[in-house]
Amino acid sequence: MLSAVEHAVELEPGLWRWEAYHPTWKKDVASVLVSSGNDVVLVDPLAPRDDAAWAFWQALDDASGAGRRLTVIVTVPDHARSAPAIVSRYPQTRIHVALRRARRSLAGIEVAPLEESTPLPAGVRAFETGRADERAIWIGPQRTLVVGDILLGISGGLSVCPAGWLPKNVTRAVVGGRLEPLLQLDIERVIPTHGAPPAESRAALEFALAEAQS
Amino acid sequence: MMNGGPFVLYALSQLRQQEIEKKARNAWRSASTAEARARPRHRGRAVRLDTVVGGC
Repeated sequence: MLSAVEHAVELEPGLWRWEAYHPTWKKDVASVLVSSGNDVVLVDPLAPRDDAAWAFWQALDDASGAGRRLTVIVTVPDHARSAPAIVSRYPQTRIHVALRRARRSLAGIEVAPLEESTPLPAGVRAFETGRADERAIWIGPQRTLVVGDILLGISGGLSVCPAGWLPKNVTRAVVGGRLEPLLQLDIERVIPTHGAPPAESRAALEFALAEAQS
Repeated sequence: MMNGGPFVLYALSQLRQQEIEKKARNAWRSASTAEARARPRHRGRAVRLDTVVGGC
């Protein structure tokens, strides 16, 4: 679906990862797209810019024009990225994000909840992370875990984010413990939205959670 | 064919391909701009496609 998009790779049928430059973060970041039946699910989507943009938007135009349902999942509010642009262009798009308290809008856009109990399309599930406003995303059919800020791809492996990224009452050890249920999943790959995917995803996840709790 | 012929043909084909892609991009931009102008705005605000929200 994203074969014409620069820096996009189809990891397996229907599962795409692409990188684009984040103008605020000033680095490339990763996003994920799942194409399944009538559904297109985007996780932390950041549209490519300038000359690279048209192929991305053309792909979504084609999907929307064919009547496919677009869903955006935002792992953490700071990863809203292109979600407002997508919902502006395709107003039927539903955005799921975990927000603190009773807020139900993100950057002025009405959003839907993102809880472990929230039904999501394409075999996607949300898992708690220890942060009230962040979820890890499990794409069941592709046995793929997508993580936002809570786990970073570093040095070929994974690492729980620095303590300074966490709320005052949450430690790295708390996060490590809270993410342990993910080890019950039959994980084929982990896709961090910051950093490269580890070669040995399950081992990298085990190591990262143990290191955070040590 | 003189020396370098295949290379010249290859280079010409690449230029031709780039021209086709450039025309496709420009056509898409024009159509996209016209469509965006015609579309109802989100909560009264236009959102540019290159708008990025959030810090990372």
